[in-house]
Amino acid sequence: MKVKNTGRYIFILFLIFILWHIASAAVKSPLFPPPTAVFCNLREVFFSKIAVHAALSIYRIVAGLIISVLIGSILGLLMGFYHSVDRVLSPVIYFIYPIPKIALLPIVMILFGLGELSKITLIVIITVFQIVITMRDTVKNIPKETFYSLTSLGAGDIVVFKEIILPAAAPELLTAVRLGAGTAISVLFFTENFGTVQGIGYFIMDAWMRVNYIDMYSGILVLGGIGLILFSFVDALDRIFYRWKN
Amino acid sequence: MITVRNLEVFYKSSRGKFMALAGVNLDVEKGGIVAVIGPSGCGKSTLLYTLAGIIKEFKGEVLIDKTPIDPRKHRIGLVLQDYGLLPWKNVIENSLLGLRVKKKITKTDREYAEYLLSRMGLSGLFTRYPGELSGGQRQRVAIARAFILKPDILLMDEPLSALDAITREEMQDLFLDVWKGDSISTVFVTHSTEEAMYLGKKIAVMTGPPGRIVKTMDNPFFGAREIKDPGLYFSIKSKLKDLIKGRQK
Repeated sequence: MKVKNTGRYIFILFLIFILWHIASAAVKSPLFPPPTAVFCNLREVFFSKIAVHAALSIYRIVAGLIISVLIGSILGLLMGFYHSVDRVLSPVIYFIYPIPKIALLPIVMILFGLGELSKITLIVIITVFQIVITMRDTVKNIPKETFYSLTSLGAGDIVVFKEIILPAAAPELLTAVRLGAGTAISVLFFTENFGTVQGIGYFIMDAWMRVNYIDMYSGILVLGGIGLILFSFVDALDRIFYRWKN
Repeated sequence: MITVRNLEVFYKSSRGKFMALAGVNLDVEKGGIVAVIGPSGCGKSTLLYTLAGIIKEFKGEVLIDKTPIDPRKHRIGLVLQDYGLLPWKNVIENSLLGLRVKKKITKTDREYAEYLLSRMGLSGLFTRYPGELSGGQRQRVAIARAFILKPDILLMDEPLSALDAITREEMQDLFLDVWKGDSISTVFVTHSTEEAMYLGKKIAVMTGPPGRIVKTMDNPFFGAREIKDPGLYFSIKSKLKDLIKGRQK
């Protein structure tokens, strides 16, 4: 099954590159080079120029997502299970969630410096809300009958969390992580345009400034690749729950 | 032994208080089995959830072996209509869940669970998840789980009503067979007169809302598949039906 899946991915990507190639041949502009040129460039400069940027970006995304998942699922699960916690925190979440936190970047940079901390912080404060809300609603949607057999056994909250809340929430957490990963990559690109000379976002923008479109497309391709790897990893985790979910 | 005296339960909603049970009295002697029968919405499930310690706010008395109901002290076996199995646990994990909340699982417990599950016709399915079982099989796991707990009382909330007629009769026989081995004080809620007359040593007729037990009668046809006195059988059956319908109007 795994081999088949990999084959499917390669086939579909191949189709996309063919379409790209045709489009590029039709446009005939240095703004839109053919994929072959980009691939040749990638082979030359990936390890020497791009790999270090890509690795740093992956680090920022993964660290941001892990912190987000930890904070978000703890808050979300507690809000879902304890009505009183939900009543206090919901207004706070609803108020802060829609504020465009990208606008806070200057403040975050003043508070946390120009280094890794400010970039990771921004990813966390943007992605954490999706995770909180997904987790809270997941717990709220567990049918109340599910709890009955444990309640009638005199089980306390800790047992209920371990036996019902956590296993029921785990597959939904992966959905939240998928949503978060997409957002995190976009946020990362933005933050890497300020106060840094490292990261794939910086690499792309720098190539653009230097009017090196081949390098720019190489960076974009790598960014896409990072996304692909992240999502495939989350999909792989999904298989743990495959049997009881289906 | 289960004793219920003047039980009143209210549900609170935004429109005010709703009376679900109005002064219910019920006795289940040690090793007895009472079938509670009544129309939908009459408060049967509410009565059962109160006995199970799920509904904690009530007026009146609910005693198990003369002590007030407390799910932490008493062992309560509960079988629900939708099986109450956890979808992320396989058959053996689900069947041991009740015991595991109460104590540490020993090898003897595990063997007993495997024995009961096999007796329920589930051997070879121990590592399946509920989603991979048929409705009848799931209900067997739920019933086995209740017995594996070795409960003080057994509460069953229309456990067989989602099954087809043939599976249902099979399950009734299987249930009685296992039940006779342990003779646990049992309340069996159903909306079928036939089921009540097969599985109840006593039959309690409930009407509502608000829920009341209007009549409790001894049932001479407990555990009898072959009816030797059809005249009496049908007169009791029609009496039950009248009681259920009569008070509903």
